[in-house]
Amino acid sequence: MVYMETVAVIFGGRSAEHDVSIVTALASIIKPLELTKKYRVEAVYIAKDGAWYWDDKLKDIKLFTSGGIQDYLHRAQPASVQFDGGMMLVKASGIAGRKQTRKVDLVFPAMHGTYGEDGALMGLLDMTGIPYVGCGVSASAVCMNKVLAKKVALGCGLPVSDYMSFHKSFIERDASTLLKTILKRLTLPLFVKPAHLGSSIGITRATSETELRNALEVAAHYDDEVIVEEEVPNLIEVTLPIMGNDQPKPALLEQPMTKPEDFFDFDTKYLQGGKKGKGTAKGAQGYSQIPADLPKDLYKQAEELGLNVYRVMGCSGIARVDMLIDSKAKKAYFNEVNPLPGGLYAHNWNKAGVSNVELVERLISFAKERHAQRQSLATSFSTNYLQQF
Amino acid sequence: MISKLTSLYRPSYAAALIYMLQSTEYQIRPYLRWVWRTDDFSGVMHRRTLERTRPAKLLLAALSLGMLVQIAAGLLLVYLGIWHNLTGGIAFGLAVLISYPFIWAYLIVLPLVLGRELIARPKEQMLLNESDAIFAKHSGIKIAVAGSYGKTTMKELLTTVLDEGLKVAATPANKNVSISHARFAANLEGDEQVLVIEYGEGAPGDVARFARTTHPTHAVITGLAPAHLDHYKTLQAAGEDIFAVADYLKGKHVYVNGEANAAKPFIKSSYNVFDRHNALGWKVERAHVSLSGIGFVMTKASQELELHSNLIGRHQVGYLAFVAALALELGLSSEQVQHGIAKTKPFEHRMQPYELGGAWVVDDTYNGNLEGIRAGTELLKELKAKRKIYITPGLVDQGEETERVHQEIGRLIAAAHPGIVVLMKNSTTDFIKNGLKAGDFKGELRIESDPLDFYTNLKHFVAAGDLVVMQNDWPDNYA
Amino acid sequence: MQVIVDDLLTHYDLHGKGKLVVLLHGWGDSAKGLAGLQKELTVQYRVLSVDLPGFGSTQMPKTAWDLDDYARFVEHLLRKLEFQQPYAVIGHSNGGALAIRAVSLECLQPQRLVLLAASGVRTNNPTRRLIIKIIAKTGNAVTLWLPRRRRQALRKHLYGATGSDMLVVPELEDTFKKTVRQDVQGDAAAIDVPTLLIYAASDDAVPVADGRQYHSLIKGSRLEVVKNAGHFVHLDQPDKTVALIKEFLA
Repeated sequence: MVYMETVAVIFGGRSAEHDVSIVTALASIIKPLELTKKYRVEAVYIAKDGAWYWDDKLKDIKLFTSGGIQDYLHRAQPASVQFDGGMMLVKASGIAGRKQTRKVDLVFPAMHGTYGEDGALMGLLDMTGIPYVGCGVSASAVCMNKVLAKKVALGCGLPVSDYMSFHKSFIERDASTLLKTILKRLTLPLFVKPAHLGSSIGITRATSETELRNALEVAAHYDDEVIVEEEVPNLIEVTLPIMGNDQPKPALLEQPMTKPEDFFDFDTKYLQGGKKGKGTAKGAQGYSQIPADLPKDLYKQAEELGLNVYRVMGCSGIARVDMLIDSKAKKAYFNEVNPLPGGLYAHNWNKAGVSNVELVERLISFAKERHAQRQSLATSFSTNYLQQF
Repeated sequence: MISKLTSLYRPSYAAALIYMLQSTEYQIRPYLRWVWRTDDFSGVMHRRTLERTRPAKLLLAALSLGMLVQIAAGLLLVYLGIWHNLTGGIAFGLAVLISYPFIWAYLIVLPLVLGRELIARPKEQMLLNESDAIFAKHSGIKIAVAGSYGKTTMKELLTTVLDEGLKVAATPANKNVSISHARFAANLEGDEQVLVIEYGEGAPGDVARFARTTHPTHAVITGLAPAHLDHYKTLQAAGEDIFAVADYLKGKHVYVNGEANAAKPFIKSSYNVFDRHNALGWKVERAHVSLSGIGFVMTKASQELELHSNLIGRHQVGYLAFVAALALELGLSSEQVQHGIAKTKPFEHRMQPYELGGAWVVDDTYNGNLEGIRAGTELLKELKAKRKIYITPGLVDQGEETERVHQEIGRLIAAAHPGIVVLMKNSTTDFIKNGLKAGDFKGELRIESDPLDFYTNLKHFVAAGDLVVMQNDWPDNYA
Repeated sequence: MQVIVDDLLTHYDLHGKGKLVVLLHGWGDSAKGLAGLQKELTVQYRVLSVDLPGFGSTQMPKTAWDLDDYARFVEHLLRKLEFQQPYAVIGHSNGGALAIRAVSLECLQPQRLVLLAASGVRTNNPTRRLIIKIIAKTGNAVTLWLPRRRRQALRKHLYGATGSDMLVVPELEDTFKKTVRQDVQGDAAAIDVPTLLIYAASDDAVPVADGRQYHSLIKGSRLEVVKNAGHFVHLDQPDKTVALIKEFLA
């Protein structure tokens, strides 16, 4: 019997995008990984309360769609993780109190949003010292903070639309002064967003002072930090999935056909089945154009920008860069980065000639490559610091 | 082992038996062979399940009742045995009790045979007699379509194109034996200008019999290949049977697909032979094949006709050209023919292209024979793609030819130079592998043990730039 | 769109131009359920449809609310969005009861009121309520031994069978109890706004009898009974309902 590496796919989590994460993990990661027949795949599910579960039953999407997961969580014993010499999953086996264990060779994080995509999980995995797929701690943390990401991009000379950011307490303390400050520097319409959340939760397009005030309150309801951005005129939104470490490769520029903030048309909104675009509707197949229908030079410009953003953020493995294009001025602006695109954006990779199975296999090899590089760095030095003490 | 044994005693066992009967089209011999071969009945309905038709429901009710009666009898015997302290009685009772799944797997055949002989057969005979008279009297052109493959395609092409200018009636899909011809006749209105009648072939003498009862005026022979050899035994016998319709017509208005190599020895000089270059005196040129269809030009003397069909594959060119030429002979205008040919499109699972996550898949999983494989591999070779993938489980019904045919399949696949070949693990896998080797195949070979699982997950394996040709879905009763 | 009202993240839809019309949905429903009606009305009016707290995408109220709390919530929402009093209020089912209470409390002061299968006539059958109560209490005691989830499922099933919406949103159980205890017939009697009552002939949740009761209580009100429609009259007979409302608002 050939030794099969064990890949743990971690999904769910204490974030607003808990449900999206389940779909990403089961449909776009676990299934293709199992089809490679090269890995033993372990499903590790983090419930909304933060407890970890490890079970093959968690690989079945029906458990989640039928609501059976509630019953399951009632009965199942949470699993735990040991960090002795790597990472080991541990759970009660149900037979005379014996423990069942599995040593994990590699982790495939499938978490979206806070406590998962934002670097928190990556920090834990770095401590275990095993390879894992996707961006590392710092890139994840920077990308998931829209303010920080803009600052990094600006610092590297990449174009971003004008913005301001504020702490929640500022909004609560003196909203009127804040409104004046904002409107002195930025022109309506403005986009107001919570700094950390993924997808489009809590985002409002404000066209008047009243709307701006309300929008700030809404964003502050979700997050400590709020970002206000000027709208790019003649807007074409595009997004670009990218993978790789030192030599990132782009998929195809994708143009979502309905903007989540476009509330005008009832039909599109309700047919999308979405309230304010819950992330998946945005960019989901059928609602987007791949590749985006752009003039060649503009396409190239956006693709370059996307790759540059990927590099300066320090991304590795995979990420998706959202950009805003002023179609008249022919200029692309960086908007934000998703370190773990929903469903890995497999539909886009497929169109770019990468199958689901290839996609996960490549991501695993990138994870190993980065891990090997880090292993070769000198991380411990002998000093005589203690002796001198 | 235990689970296999318990599968006999599960409540679903009765349904599994009826399902097997249904899948073998209530033919007793294949059913019994299947029962004999199966040791785990819980896996029988893995891919499909029982379709609850009236006969199926009746049989299931009869079977369940029979089993219950036997269980009751067994219990009664055991009870009596205990009551009267008869060890032999108890043992016999237990035997009766335990044996019900075995007994009824065979006993269920009985009502089937009785029903067929006492009810179905006399009724059919009456219908047949009536249909003979209807066909004989009918004044329309009666085109018989016979062959080991391509019959349905030919029938559909004739119907679609001729319908542009004539009143056409055709036998329904796959209804190609005497009784279906008779039902077809009973439903005719009488004023049809063309009847298209498909001749299914199953055993020696079939086609000759069909010809006698349906009184054709024209016949198209679409091809000859090793198929149904379990009944015909040899290709020669199959050919003789199919060409019986030509004898019936005394060689007049007989059209034969000249690309069918096996048919060549049977062709007489009075027959009209068509292929991808010539049809009824028309020359076929500039044929272009792509995933969006076939385009070609037909010329005869000063006449020129440009045609486009949505059918896929170069092997269809001959069929299309023949149908177009015949339609012109029967009085249709060039515009009508062009329009009719433009309407022709692939049928479900027969060289049917579809997009899957940016990749193109040509689904040719319906039915299968060596000529079909030749056409499919030819298509794979001809079309451009970044990566070519070929999937097949092999062919059934090849009798003694199995090894030779599958080695040939392997060579045909190799000649198309696919990057990946996917085979399903079964009795033919090794023969195809040998053929691949002989054809110097250099790509990746995958052998899958669960075809259904592989088909449903195909979307995970392909991406834009891939061309997949899938041929011959292996029915699970042969696995 | 979202806004913070009474410290609750509130979702609403606002479309169209013209005089303001406010839509209030029923128990267990949301603004989505009235979307068809909203779309029709946006041709002539500015229509505000809100997910009431606990429903749709609006947060749960932090304590158990009654109709008065909901009425004040709607008042605060309008203030937040800087609207004056609406031209018309349209309430369906429990949203209708809410509209009556809100008008009575002067939280809403519309010029037109439309009640679609409005509930709020709570005392028509005291015996039935008593019986349900007795069964519920006994049932509670009898099923105590069941696992919590099973018990909840069973309760949901049984309440559904008696025609009660209590466990449609289990988290709002206390709010539901408070709300349905509130009879608004007294409030209805005090209404002097032109009112259109639309009830469905085959409604078994809120019978036409309730509509007649309101009709007799609200001075100068008009009662329309729509045939071939159930409780969701605006979904079952959309054309008819919309035509009635448009004509009344014109």
